[in-house]
Amino acid sequence: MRNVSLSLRLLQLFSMGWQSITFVFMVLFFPQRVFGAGVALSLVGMGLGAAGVLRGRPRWTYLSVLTMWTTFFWLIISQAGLGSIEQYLPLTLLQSVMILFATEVATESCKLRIQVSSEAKSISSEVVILKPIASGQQAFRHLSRLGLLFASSYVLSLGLLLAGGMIASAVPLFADISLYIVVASVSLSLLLLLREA
Amino acid sequence: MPLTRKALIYLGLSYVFIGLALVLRQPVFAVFVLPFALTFFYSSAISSLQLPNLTIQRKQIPARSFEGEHIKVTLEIRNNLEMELSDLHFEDEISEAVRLESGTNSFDLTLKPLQRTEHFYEISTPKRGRYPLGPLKLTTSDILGFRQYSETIHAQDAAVVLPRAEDLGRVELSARRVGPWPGTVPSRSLGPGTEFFELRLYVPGDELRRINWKATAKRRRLVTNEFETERVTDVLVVLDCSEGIQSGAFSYDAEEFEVSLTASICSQLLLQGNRVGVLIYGAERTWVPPAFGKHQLMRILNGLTVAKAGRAIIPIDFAVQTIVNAVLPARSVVAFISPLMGDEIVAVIRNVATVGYSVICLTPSMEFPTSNESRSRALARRILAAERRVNMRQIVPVSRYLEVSPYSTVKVLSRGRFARKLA
Repeated sequence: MRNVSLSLRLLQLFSMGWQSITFVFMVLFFPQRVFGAGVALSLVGMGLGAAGVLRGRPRWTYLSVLTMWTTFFWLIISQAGLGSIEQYLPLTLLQSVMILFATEVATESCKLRIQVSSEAKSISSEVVILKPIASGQQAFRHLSRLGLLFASSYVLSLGLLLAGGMIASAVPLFADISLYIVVASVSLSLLLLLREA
Repeated sequence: MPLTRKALIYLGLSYVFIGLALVLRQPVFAVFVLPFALTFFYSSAISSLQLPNLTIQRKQIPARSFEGEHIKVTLEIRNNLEMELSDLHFEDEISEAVRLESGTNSFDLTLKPLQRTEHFYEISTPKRGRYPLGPLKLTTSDILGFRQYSETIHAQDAAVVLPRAEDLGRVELSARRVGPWPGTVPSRSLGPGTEFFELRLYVPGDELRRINWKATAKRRRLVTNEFETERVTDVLVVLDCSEGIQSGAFSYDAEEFEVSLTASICSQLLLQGNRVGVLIYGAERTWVPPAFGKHQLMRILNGLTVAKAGRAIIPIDFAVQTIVNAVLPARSVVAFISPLMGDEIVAVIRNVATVGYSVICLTPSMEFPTSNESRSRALARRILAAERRVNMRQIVPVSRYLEVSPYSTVKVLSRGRFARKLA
């Protein structure tokens, strides 16, 4: 049982820590005018996230993720308003990937919390104790794979961004906004079609 | 395979970024679509969803349980593929009435190639009956949870919970017809037995232990005891679960009490060597033809699991007459377990007795609750009780009857108790 609690506690701590880092990382880049509002929003999000993770309430976790995305949109729109979005683009891109990973961590933590609490009654059976432990290990393995996946997607996005910038400087035609949109839309649709096939 | 809600939200977010890029004339917003597009790419290209090929068996220990016992359900799952299957979510559906005692019926598994594993959980049921187990639902998704695959991979089973038969003590029956085998029913013929019948003069060849020494001393001639032979008989137990049992006249669950009483009586009668059959009449109708032995008890208990109170389609007199004529030898015993409500049951009992069967009738007692009951309800209960008393009086000339309470001691069926009640 100690092992079960330990892996769950570790996952909860990691989830709360990651959410806090993500919020702090976003707040640091908020413009001076809306800094206070950004801090308040982050505190609300951190509170909701902590409560959702500790109590295993998926709804609170969803609210926390929603707060993250709200904070992020506020941040990029205010940066766009000030004209500084391109300056911080790699960091902002990193923030969006961090939010995606924070969502996965919080979801895994909630799932494990629910599973452990539903199996808590069966502690008398050694065979059943092994299951939450296995689930804890599975959760960590799953998260490490997702971490690698998001990290690689960030690196690739950054690479594509740099490549796009270089191509745009070489061929000014590619700097047109409509081309970005068409490429993004077509790639998404193609990926979906590929998947359905 | 359908997209999950998560995939749709991510897709929506991507289009929000594209929309922002268009509205604000800021091409950089489209850059934020890239992480989403890449995760979609990983979902479809790298973590291709492998459809599982599993063999699943569900076992119950014990296979047949009694009321109040826990049932251990084991799911044996085997991966038939030579590759790992991860993030498999199983949910074994159980009836709402069933209580989960330990373990869980919803669990996640990762199976290595050709791995075989077992999952246990324990359930308990509120009362006897057949409770569906399953089907087992499998849900699996890709690493990012964008695609989901669901399948029902195991058919339904049922947990059969039998009614518990209590020890009632020896049941005294009197039958006009007895079988050839020794039993406990007085046969009205002389022979080996336990019940004293008469005294007669000693004849050579009589066993010495049968000599009545007191009578011999008095008469100054050897006198021996004669005993009444005890044999077995055929009994048909008719469980009446018709609407009357649901009338609200009883302060306890009379349906369950009747079922328990039937199980207990059948168990005792079979133990005493009789040939016993059961006719269950109610919303669910079934019958078990008379037979001997432990297997017959299991058949009867199995039949009793489906007993359900309510209105039956066919009339009770037709059901009873048909079965009695078909399976029961003339002048055997018919035992009615009935709330004795309504005219039909009285007519049936009288008809059965008229054609020569020995009839006994056991009825749940109607105890009035001491709690504050509304006047109209109390009046209705009194009217029902009065009607039932009239019915009881009508059956007294043709049958022995006994009111049985779930609160009284279980050994109620002795001859003396019957006699007192009849008096």
